[in-house]
Amino acid sequence: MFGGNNKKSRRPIGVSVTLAGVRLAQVSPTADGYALSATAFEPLPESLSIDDANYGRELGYALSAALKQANFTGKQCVSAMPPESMHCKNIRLPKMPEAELAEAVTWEAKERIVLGEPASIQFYSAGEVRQGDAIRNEVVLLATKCSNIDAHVQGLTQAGLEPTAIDATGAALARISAGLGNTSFTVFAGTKSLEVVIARGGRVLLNKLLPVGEAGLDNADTAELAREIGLCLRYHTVTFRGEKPASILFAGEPVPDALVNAVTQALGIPATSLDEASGFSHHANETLSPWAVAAGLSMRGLAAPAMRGAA
Amino acid sequence: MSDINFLPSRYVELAERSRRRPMNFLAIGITAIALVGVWILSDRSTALAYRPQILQAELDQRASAKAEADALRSEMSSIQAQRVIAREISQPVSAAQVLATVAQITPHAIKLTDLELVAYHPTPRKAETQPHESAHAAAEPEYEPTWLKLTLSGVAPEQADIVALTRAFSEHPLFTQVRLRSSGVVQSEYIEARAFAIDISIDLDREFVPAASQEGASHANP
Repeated sequence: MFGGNNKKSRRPIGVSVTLAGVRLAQVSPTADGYALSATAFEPLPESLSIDDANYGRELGYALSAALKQANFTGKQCVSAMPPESMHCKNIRLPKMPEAELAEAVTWEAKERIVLGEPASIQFYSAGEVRQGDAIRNEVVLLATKCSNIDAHVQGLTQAGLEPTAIDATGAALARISAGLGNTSFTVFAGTKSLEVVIARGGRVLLNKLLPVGEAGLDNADTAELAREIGLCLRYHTVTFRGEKPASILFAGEPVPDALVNAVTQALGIPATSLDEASGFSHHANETLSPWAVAAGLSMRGLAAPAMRGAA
Repeated sequence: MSDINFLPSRYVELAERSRRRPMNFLAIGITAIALVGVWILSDRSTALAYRPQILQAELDQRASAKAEADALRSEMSSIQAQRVIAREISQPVSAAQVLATVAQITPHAIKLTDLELVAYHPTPRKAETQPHESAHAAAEPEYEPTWLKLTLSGVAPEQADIVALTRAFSEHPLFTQVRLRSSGVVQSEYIEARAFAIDISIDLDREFVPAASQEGASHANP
């Protein structure tokens, strides 16, 4: 790995947790932009669920093992919980000041998202949309159980990490693709789900999790997945009526060619690899694609121009 | 830019607190050291500022003590002198009385050529201090009784007169230890006589009673 370890330019460690394992990545600035300076992956037990009582302990063990694999700098981290633990919903609220929006979203979330126990609510303010003759705020709600957050933090602190934020995977993907044009369309492939993120300038406009079933991506119904992804793009096009994404980025686990072809044909836009588009410096034997979420988490807090410089 | 953060604020505060803890301890330590330093310097400065006054006060105190000691020493000398005078004044037998008695006893035929009367002041008896005796007891010496030594020299016609004189002195209650020290013949161009010298002790722990009184010298206290 390469990249500076200067304390001033040191970025936090990005910790992306999925049900398959933990991915750690740390980016550092270079003359051309940013580079991955350290990456590590450690699998989690196959049967582990985020609701399990020993989730925090197992996560801590996995993180400790992953931290030993590479030369990470510092202990501060920005992490993301497994996408499966997030409940995502797009809602529209009347136009109101930003200060009142958070209160309205919290109240609305209590009505629409019921998890059966105390939950933490966060949201993306996607922007203003026209609904009939009215202008409304498009909001992407994110909710997760407080107990899941506590278990997640327990795992991080058990490994000696100092969490500065628990981010969402969609935000990390929007961040990593912020410099790729006005509107980015990213499909992040996990072992058991596809996460679709449409963002503009780092702002998440749509975030959708598409389960692929227990059989995995290789045996998934490509036509159905392509249709679902097409619906996401159609929702975005109808809602925001703006610029259509120029291409679709595939990241994460290797996506079968059949699915890529099906999606590009259904959407009518070409597919692009994140490694080619991002401009990230990376090792010749390693691609940015699997580390996209972790790298995006590590870049949390960077100003948008800096990220555009990385493209 | 999307700014999602599910991290509860209590974790952030906890981390911030633990991150600041070493700096807080350091700040407290530096402050404590600075305060101690300031206190020491101010204390030292105050002590130095008042040092001349303190030294002057000590000097005055010592001068006062010295003056008091001098006054006490002077007073002690004065008291001692008064004591000597008082002792001499209170002496029961005066020199004049002794001389008067000698003149009364001495016959007309005997001529005294020399008379010496020496008063012996009381001297402390050697303290026989025992190891177990207290210092207070040792500090109170006992005094020998005061006495006078009378030495007479004269010329008598005969040895019998000298013997008579010696007897007269011995029989008088005022005198004790009458001793004829010397006796010999002296000759001049015209006469031959006997020169003599007598030593007499006079104890002063007795009261003088003039010979003219009716009580008589025999009533003198022994």
